[in-house]
Amino acid sequence: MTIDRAERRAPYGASPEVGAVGQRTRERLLDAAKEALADVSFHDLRVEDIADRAGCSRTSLYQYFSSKEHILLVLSTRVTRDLEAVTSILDGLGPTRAGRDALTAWIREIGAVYARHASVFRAWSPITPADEVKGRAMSVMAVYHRDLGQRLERAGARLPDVEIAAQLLFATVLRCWHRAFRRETDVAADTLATSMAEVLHRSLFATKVGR
Amino acid sequence: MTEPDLVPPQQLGGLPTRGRVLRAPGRHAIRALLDAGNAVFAEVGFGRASVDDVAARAGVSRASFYLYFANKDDLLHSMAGECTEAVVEVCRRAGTGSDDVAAALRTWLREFLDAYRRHAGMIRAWNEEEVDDPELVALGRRVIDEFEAAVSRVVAPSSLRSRADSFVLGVLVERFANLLTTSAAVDADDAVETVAQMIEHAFASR
Repeated sequence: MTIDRAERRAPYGASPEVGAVGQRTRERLLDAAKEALADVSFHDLRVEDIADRAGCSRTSLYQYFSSKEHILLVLSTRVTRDLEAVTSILDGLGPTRAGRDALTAWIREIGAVYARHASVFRAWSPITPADEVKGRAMSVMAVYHRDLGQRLERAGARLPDVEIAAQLLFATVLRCWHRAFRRETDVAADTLATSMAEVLHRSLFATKVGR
Repeated sequence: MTEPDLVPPQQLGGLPTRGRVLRAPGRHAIRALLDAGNAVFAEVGFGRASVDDVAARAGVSRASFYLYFANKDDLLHSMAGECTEAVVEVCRRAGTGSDDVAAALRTWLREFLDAYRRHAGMIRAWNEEEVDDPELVALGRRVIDEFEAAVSRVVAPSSLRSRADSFVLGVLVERFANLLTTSAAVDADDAVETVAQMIEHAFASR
């Protein structure tokens, strides 16, 4: 992933090399943006606010990032990386009890990824597909959905369109966690994870496996 | 808590139309503005959309917009009332279809999808928490409650073992409509059939 590489942008500095101090500043800016997004929408987010929160100047921010869109793109890359890192849990997916347990474990991990990046997830959806960030993020997600679809197929899901099923599976899990974090349901996280796994496992494989 | 009143269809205009009897051209303009509001807010989001965008999409002048709505929030108010009515209406038909349960489920999913698409701009504003007015927030809650109760009626009550099950089912159906509304690449027939079978697999049909 070259998007998330510490690089000093031209014309700042003679070389794109970023030293340890620069790396730390860049990370601080990314953290600041993530924090700021918890309070304001991406639309209302200002580059000045990110720099202020990170305790550095706007000029310093522009050494690493061309725009707030660029920052969101880097943050999104990290979300995708974290999502992909837990996908291997689904190797165990199948129409069995062990397969259901694998789905439960994956759903919990997705919840953990959501919790770590909640503000980035929220910033994401309001951006229109016409935007460059969204376009690039969406092509990454298309690859993710295709991979998920292939996993469902290999696991033995019998549905007319497994790729649509994969998108619905992922979107449903994310949305459930989103609403749970927004306290739009009083169902406890643990109960919710179990219920998601049972309902979605049956929906994919049409088989009931015991608790 | 008292339920917020629904806006009667003949009064879909905003504050400037209160107490005025509208003739056909005015009613047409209001219809066009409400539809344009849904199209524009669905595309760019309520926060980023301007009155000019909506008026241009509706094919009316900026001045005409203000004959019928005081501002963007006023338009959203009318859109919320109309969306609530439409969703409540579709929800009332849930689980009341023909004896052919499989066909009834698919028909209902399509009806829900149609309503969702027609009101995509309003639903997006609610989903993305761009609605600040407490009255509209309350209306949004009511839409969700009606919807979740309705979705539970399309499956056999005995197959919903907990409130969490109904919640997950509701999210699945909402995301199905959302996917088809936001992604042009997904085929509606394939998606309806896929989600219908997912629901049938997960829950015994009624």
